[in-house]
Amino acid sequence: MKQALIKRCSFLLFTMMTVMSYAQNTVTYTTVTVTGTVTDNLGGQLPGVNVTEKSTKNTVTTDFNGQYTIKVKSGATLVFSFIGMRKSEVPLNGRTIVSTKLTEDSNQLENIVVVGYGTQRKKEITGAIATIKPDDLMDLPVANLSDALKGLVPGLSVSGGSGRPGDASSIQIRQSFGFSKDGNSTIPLVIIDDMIQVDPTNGKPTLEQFNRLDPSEIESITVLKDASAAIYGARASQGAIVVKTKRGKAGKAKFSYNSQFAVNDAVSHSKVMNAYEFGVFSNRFLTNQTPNIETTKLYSAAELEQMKGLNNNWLKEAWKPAIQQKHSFNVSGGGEDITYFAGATYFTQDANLGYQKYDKWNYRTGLNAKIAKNLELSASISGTSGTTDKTFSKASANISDGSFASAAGGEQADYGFLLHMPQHVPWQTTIGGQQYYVSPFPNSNKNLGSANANNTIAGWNYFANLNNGSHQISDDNSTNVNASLNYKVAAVKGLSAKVTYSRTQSSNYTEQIQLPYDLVRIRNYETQDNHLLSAADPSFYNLNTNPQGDYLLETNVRNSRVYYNNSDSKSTQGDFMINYDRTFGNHQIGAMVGGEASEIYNTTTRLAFENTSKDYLGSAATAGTLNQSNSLASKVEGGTLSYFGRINYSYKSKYLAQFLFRSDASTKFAPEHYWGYFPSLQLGWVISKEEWFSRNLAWVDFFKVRYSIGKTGKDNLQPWKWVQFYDVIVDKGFQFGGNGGTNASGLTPRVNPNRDATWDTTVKNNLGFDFNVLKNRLNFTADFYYDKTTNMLTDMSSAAGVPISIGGAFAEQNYAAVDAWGAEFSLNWSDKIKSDVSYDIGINFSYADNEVKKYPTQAVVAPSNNAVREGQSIGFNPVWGFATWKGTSTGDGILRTDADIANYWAYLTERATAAGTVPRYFDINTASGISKGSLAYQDVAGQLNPDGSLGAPDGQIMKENDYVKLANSSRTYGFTTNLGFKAKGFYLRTQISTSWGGATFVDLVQQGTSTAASMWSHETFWNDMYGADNPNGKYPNLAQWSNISSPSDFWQLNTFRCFVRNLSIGYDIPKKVFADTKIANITLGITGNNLWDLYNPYPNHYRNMYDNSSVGYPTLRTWSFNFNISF
Amino acid sequence: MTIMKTKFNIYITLALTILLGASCSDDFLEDKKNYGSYDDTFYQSQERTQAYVDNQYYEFFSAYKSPIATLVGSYTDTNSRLTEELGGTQDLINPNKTLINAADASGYYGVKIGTGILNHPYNRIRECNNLLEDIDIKGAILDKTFRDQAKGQMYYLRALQYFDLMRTYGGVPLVTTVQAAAADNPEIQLPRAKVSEVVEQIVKDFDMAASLLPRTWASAGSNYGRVTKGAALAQKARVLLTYASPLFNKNWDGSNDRWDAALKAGLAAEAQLTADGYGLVGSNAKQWEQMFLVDNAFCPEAITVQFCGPGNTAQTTNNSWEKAIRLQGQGGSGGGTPAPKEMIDLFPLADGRRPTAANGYNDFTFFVNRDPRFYRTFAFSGVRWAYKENTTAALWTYRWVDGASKIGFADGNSSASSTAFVRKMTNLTATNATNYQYSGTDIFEYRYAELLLNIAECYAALGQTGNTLAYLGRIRNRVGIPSANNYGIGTLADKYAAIEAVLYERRVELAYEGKRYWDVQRWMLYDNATLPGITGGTVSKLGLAPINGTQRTGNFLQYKNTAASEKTDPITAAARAAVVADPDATNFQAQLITLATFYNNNFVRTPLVTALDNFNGAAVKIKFNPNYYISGLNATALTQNTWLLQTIGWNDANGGSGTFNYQE
Repeated sequence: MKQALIKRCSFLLFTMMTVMSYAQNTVTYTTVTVTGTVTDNLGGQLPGVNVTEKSTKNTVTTDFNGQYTIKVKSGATLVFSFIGMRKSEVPLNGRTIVSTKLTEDSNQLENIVVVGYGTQRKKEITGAIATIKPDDLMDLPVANLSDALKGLVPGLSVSGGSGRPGDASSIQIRQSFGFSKDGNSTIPLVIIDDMIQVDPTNGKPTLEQFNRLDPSEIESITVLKDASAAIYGARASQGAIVVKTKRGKAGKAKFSYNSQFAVNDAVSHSKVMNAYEFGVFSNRFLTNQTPNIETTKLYSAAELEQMKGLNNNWLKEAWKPAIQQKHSFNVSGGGEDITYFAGATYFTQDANLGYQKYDKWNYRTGLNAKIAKNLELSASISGTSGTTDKTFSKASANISDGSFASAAGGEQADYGFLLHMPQHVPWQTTIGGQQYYVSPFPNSNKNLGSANANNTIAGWNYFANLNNGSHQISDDNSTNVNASLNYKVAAVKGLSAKVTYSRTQSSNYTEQIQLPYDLVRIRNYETQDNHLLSAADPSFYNLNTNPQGDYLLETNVRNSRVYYNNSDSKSTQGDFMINYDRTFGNHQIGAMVGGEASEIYNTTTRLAFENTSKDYLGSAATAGTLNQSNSLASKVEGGTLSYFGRINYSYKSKYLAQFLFRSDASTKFAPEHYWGYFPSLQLGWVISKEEWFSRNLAWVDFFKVRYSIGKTGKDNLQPWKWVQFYDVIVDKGFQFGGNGGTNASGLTPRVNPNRDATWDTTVKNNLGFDFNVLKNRLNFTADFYYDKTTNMLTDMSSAAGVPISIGGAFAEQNYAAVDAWGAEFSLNWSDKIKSDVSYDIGINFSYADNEVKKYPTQAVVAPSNNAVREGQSIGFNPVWGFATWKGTSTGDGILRTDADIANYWAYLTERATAAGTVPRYFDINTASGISKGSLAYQDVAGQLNPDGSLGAPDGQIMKENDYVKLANSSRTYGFTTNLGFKAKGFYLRTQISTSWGGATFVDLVQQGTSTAASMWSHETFWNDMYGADNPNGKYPNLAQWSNISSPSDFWQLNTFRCFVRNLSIGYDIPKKVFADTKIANITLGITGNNLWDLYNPYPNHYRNMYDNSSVGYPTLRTWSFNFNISF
Repeated sequence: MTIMKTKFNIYITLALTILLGASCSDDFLEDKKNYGSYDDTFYQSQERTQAYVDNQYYEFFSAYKSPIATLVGSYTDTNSRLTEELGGTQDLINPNKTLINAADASGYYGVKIGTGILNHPYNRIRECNNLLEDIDIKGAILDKTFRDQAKGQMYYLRALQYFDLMRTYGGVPLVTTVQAAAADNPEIQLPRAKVSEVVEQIVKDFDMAASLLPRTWASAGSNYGRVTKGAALAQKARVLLTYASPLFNKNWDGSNDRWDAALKAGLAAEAQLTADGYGLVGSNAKQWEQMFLVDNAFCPEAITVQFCGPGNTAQTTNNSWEKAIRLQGQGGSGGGTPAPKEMIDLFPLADGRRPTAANGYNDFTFFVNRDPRFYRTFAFSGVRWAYKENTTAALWTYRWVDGASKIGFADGNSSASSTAFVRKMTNLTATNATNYQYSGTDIFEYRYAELLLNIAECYAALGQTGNTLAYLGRIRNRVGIPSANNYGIGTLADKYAAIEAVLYERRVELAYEGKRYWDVQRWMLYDNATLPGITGGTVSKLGLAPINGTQRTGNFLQYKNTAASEKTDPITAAARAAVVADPDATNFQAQLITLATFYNNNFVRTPLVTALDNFNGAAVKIKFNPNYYISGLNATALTQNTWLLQTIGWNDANGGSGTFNYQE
């Protein structure tokens, strides 16, 4: 252990000495001292500009304030060069103070790119690194930063985020795998101003802070897709995103303000049955389920007629377009020794449903100061605070009917309920002149019973819940302090040392309040002709005084509760780095070594009060009774220790080499397995700089080949899996005697530990080509990667051969291996037609595939089972399902008549006889057991053989065994097109996404039939389902769920999709309009997000392309108006 | 230059000192702790070890929330729905379905081991083994009596789990040590043990438990309900009775060995329990009824008890029975638990004789002159069935039809589908406020009466009819059946008649207590037909009719005449009130005569529109295939552990025939 440490430290020492000894050979000489300040065209001071005495190797760089001091021969000419700026030559002409202004150079190759613990020039980059300009994101009306990154970088995918205010999306870079059950994460590592962002409760990467950032406070975003991320070693297998926030620029104070005013509305809601259609559907469903059903259980003809006039659209009542606003301003400026940046953003989003509200505040102040000669301080304090206040309707959480209730689930179920509530059910009614909320009565065949219930819809009324004070309010606060000291070792040119300390402290407080509410219930709506509200006698039932009354007034107290949650977290990180950067003629050298230590600490407490009464006052004393099993107090702590370094070398910016390494320790593993070592090597060759190349291929402006290889790791295990622990569970110990029936503490073993667990290892290879032609107007980048992941933490105990009879559970072991490969292409064209008309087109395309190389032998399963197996891929497997049998009367596979069933049974029987078995349709063994309205499937195979192959067809229809390939691969191909156009102050930007391939199906949602299940108003295509009264219906009967719902070609649709994701139009108001003011710039614009689909394959277009039928919240389409002004 | 060099060296030294000194120690990492969990030093604390034991009870019994639920850990009522006690077609008795493939076999055995702990049989066994292996070593400092009692409970629980595995699958692998996961360790790839070996292990564990457990627990206020010495012996008797029964004992009719062993165990348990204060409770049916409501306190009848509690919190185990049996009209949530006509026609008459027409039984006014237990087991229209909110409530579940063929229902009981409803183990003071959901009625898993019936069955199988009658007499005497004619049983012609008499008594005494399916299973009563290689034919031998081909019948009680309106009950509240019969009334039988007249004057019995037993709406008759008695292993188990043999009558994972014979 200590031995290993000494080795590591010796290595550092060696690296240092190498760099130093090189440094000692340098020579300096003196004549005249020139000083000055370099600024950009906006007056901002430019640090890092190379100032060179022409025709010599004498070079200095400007400091953080854009100032330089150089000793040159009198009469010399100074050359100022800076990436992204046009080179400028200024003769001294006897001056000793030479200040200059550099103008931007549109050639992006010169741009500076922030990489892990440092920066690089774009043209010298050797890894697969993409950059995102925050300016491009400014207009997009998204609530979190991840959402804004959609479609911008090939190989970076953004998913999730239900669209509810406050919900964030998730990001993935290339392909990320993990077989560890709860420890895995596919989220890339995010680094903000050198601070690695991890979740203080589990040490996993988190997007929490990243999503809170506003584009106006970001200087740059860099995506490290390949081994470039190896500088973050153990946690970088999923790639890394490096964010640098803004600091000030010297010069006059510059103030800018931008505001966004947006309207959110659903792209669309699924089309559902109206009241009458629902009645017909319900009868058709129940009659198909039970052909001899009692007529009392059906809607009568008169009732159906009446339903034509009922139109209680719950969702329409509850849903409204919502407003979203964002205001951000910032100011930056500074003098010679100190520069500053300060900014704040306020974002507020109203709800489409209920009174949900999401507010967030961001602020950031940044400061760079020269506190002594060669010593510079850079510090920032930033913070976010957010408030989410939303409707809390968890009364419905226990409704599990396999239908819309189960599909959305939990607190997110309200949208699905509102959308699918049968429209003959009103939410309110008048009894004795007073308004009451109604307990829903969606079924004609049964009474759901008490409104004081949390397991049926009878206990749920959105509007009652909304108006009784139930809500959930969350407040979160996070403060980040980030400070670094950079000391330039005066004696050794190019050598500097830096110490960084960052600390994030965050807290979250949530109060969940659910109070009792009153509902009126019709007590006999399941009886003959009483299925509609109109039949109910509008008075309260009383056995003695009013026996003919049909209403009961009930109070739902079932989920009344108040939960107080509090969570406090601390993350700290300290870094120490030594940098060396120098150019010696044609040789450019950079070196960096550093160490980093981090700690996380989190405490969480929850007080769970239940049985809260209506008159809750906001304090624990009035919150009801404390539920011990749902209350908790817990603590988590963890730490890491790392060493890292980088050496760059470039010869004439033509031959490039870079070596990175990192050594990490993680407390997730046993002490003897703390350490992992992750090196990386990168090489680049700018072929276009070769003389022979430029001579022969002069039309190629730039051509670079680059290759990187490196090792990264992943400590994707839950902490403490290396030691046997026993958990105390407060409600899992039986009690006896007088306490019998109420549980107290129990002690139960955790999984069996694996002391040997250590890092997953990924070796990443990337071969890239950058190619610019036509005066750098067309550039093409191609990246090919091959990632070999080995030693993956895998659930070995699931292997075939592990006896079930051992019981227990076992921690993951390092075993499995996956190879992943892919390619990413991006093509960008930008051109100016006239001096003030320009346009650009970018197309991104990526391809990915993988193969599991090593995996514990699993039990033999049918080929159609896409479970993880060696030789197969993860995520790109064939899509399987039944092929319908076309021998039915209408040839579409629906069994409509007795003859259809007889013919189908004969088909099965014939095959069964031939195979020596008996016919079977799933587990049904007689033709009479099959119901009309089911789907007939083809019998394509028999029993599973021990080798995993399938026997010959045997007249028995079995799931999986009888599946055929409905698509050869689930892979979706697609490309994203980004278009931009600028003319005389007008600009237009849009993103169009196109995809095809894989498989798309009509999405089916079950109709539950248990005693607690409510009948739902389903999507409109079910209006044309088979029924005794609709023998030619286009779709099978939903009542035959288990016989129609398996994946099959019956439900398969075209997979093509093309949609406009976003569109921005804007106008820069000409300067002359405000020429007399201090205003520098005004821009107005309109942006739309989640816009139009050009093709919809769903029957009757019952849904849009974004949201399936059981979606918990629809995708929002946002239109925003943007206004920017700067002084 | 020299100065510079010196400076330079200072810087280097400084830098390295910081780097090496400050960073190269990972001690701070090792200081990190995991909060909220104990390591295995917990064995040194009696409180923690107790919590481990209590958690074992939790894992075994937390799902036990209804008296008709069986199989430790999972506690489902599926099996109880396969007999005449409850209607509603299940896959295992549906003639339209055939379950023969491994994929259709019971999944009780468990699924593959993973990275999360699943409360499956072998995990429960593992956690028993865990304590048995560790407590005397890691917990050596604990009091010996405490350790012995902890071990006794683990032996008991382990045996109980093996017993349920045995009666589900026959033989299963026997694991009595803690094993580590490995895919290629032949030493732990245990084959299915023979049933005889499993029984031997179970008996050994119950004997160990009996030797370690107290007769009754000290500090009964906090320990009553833990398993006892007597309980271990009684469980052993139950296991040996099962082992002697025809399903596992092909020589049941020829050899007395296993019956002798079962009898001996039964008598030993009886003796022990009697000495410890256990016995039959009460001397009439009312006391028999109230006995079930003894809550959290010693009940001499309850050899083992499952505690349930009232209240709406995660800590409470609620009994779901009260909710299941109460009808809509009483504030329940549905149609109650309708008693199939086959159950109504089953219970003896008041004098103990069978209810035949010859004995004067009328199946329309079925409630006249029945066994006292009948009225405590069933409720019917016109009989009192109180609840907290209405202590004089009576049940009314008839319907009426008006001139337009529209239908109305008495008291809103629109889904009532029988003329009688199960009310056994009801609490007459339960509140309907939340649909009876939060019932705290305890469940008596093993009653003293069952032990007596087990003994009676052994005597019967051994041909000792006199002893059989004596034990049956004790059961009937306790509920107040007159002793004449051997409590109405008459004389038992031979051992088969004696066995039949015991099985009949079990159906009545233990109705709706989750026992009937296992009796039918042990005696293979669905049909004479058996699997090749399995000896059966008991149905005929006992003089019974096969259950296959029968059905559970429901009926409507319907108003005789055409009603004026579907909206209005044709029978007035006053007319109903006048005829209500109260089982606790001294003139109850006279009240029933009045009620019978009322029935004859007002009601007819009509068939259900959709039969109680139906498939897609069409009536079906019970068909239980002979391979269902002992389930095959599920495909998951067979493909995961390929050395395990499939049970005969079932296909293995590849369609081949099973070979494991549970009678060998």
